[in-house]
Amino acid sequence: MMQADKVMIGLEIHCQLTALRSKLFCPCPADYRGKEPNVNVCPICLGMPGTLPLLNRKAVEYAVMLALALNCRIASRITFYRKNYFYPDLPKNFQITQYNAYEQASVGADGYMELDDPKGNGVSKVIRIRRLQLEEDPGRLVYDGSIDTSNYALVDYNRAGVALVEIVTEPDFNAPNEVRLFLNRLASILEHLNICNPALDGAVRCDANVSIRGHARVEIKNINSFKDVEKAITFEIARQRSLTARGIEVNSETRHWDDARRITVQARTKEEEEDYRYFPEPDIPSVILSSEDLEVIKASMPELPHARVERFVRAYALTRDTARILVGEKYLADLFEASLKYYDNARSIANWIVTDLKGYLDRYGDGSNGSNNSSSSSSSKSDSNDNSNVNTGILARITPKHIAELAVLVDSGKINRTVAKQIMQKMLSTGMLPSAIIQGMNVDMLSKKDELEGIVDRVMDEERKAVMDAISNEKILNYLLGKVMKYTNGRADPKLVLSMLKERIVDLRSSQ
Amino acid sequence: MVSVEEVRHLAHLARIGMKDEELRLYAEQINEIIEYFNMLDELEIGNDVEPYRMSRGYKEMRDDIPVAFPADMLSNAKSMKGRFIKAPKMG
Repeated sequence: MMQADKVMIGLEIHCQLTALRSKLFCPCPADYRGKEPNVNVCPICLGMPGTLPLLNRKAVEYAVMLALALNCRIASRITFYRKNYFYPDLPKNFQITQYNAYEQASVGADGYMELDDPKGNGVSKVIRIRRLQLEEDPGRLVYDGSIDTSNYALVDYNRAGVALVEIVTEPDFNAPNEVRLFLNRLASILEHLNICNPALDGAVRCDANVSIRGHARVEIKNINSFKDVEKAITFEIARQRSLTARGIEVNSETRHWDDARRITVQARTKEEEEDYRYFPEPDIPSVILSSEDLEVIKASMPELPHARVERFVRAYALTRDTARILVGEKYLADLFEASLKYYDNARSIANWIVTDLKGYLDRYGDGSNGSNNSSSSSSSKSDSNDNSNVNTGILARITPKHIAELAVLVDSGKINRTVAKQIMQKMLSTGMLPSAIIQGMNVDMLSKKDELEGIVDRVMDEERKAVMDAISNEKILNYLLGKVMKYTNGRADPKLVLSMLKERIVDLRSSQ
Repeated sequence: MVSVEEVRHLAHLARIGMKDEELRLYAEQINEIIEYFNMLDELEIGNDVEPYRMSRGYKEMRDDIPVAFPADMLSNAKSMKGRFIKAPKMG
């Protein structure tokens, strides 16, 4: 890439602290997914006059944990500000957030995240974190029909006041794939800290600033899942490049990611930064975070992904690659460690999870109801889109015992890998334990010569041409082996069959 | 000094329609209020006074215990559709 053509990308990420049970400034239940509209509301989150917001300590604790995980400097005095804007998603006409114009008011500032080199050669890049702050989520607007045809907005304030952490990075990304690495790593950190479940619909949202060096900056909003961020940025870079290539100047503007059409579209201009008229929130005292408080929070932090990878390498002798894949998705790493309690063979267990289970999930998905985004254009019936935190898919059915049993069956020579893969398919679709599946199937490995003689002879008889070819070309043996495996429904011990076939071919060769 | 144009912009941000004579009236009143605050500049407070800022310790914050508000807040809403609150569409 030519230097003049350098792309610069910065992110603004919002993570809901979904592990919290109450809202940020009032005790209303925070779990709004699947609820009737406007049931989790009170005079505080509806902004009634005379109410007093009270800060949730756990929200501060979680935000501090995340700020520490991202190597931020932690404020000793945490202060909130009012950001004024007029829109029905906020009943108060301002959002309680944080603002760093005069001093560090935000929970964290000046942090960084190291991105691992995808080829495994240490750290490939450092992304600086400008700030990390706590703020309240606005309510949810839905429209009868579509946003264009409806004459009014329907407002549900269940989400209003739910705790968000906003993370703002410096524009240190130069390519969309770096953004994906960053977000994957962030998701893994969130899961390991157990403060936000990124799989929940709308729990993580991301805006991106994209510019080509020397040209204006464009902000992309409305990207409702981490998966779409890379696509939206890739589209936007292509759009800006095609403009500059034709000598057309890029406009500094806000664009929305149109999920359905897979493009970015120009958005209505909203307030400028100065129009927000930030001022200190007079109803919420600054929070003084002492060094002892900070030590207590630090000590209570769960193991972070980076440390877990190193431990897997050290304690279980896994390759760093395997360890990274496991830790990249916390449930895989958890499944791995729990399975070891049933069968203490780390490499074998890791192999089943990383190669087979993950391979299956990557190809077919988890099978749970996919999450839909319902933020802007959905009808009023759409609130059922907000799934509750119940995994209905494969992962809900698969326990550590499943993985351990499968590995033991193969390692003990009871079944071969071909059969094991069939069993895994059945196990994933039914949730039955491998030992139970085996009882209903005729799958024990055929590993005695006398069990196989008849079938090997039959194949030799049926495949005369291949047999003749095999005399001069040993590679043909694999074809014959395949035939034997087919007749035995994959149950034959392939090593034994191969040696039996070889014996016969050698006999034939010497008799020629 | 706050100008009539600045008040017009503020009115726009708050989506309040105002006539020119109202804008002039409010600009005048806002300036009077700001001038009143100027009296604070004349106070003798010395040089080593820390500004007072209200603060609380981390441990004094509220526990994360959910409590549903006992009354249905919707009885106060003017316009409803089902359990949704109807609001003007922002153009």
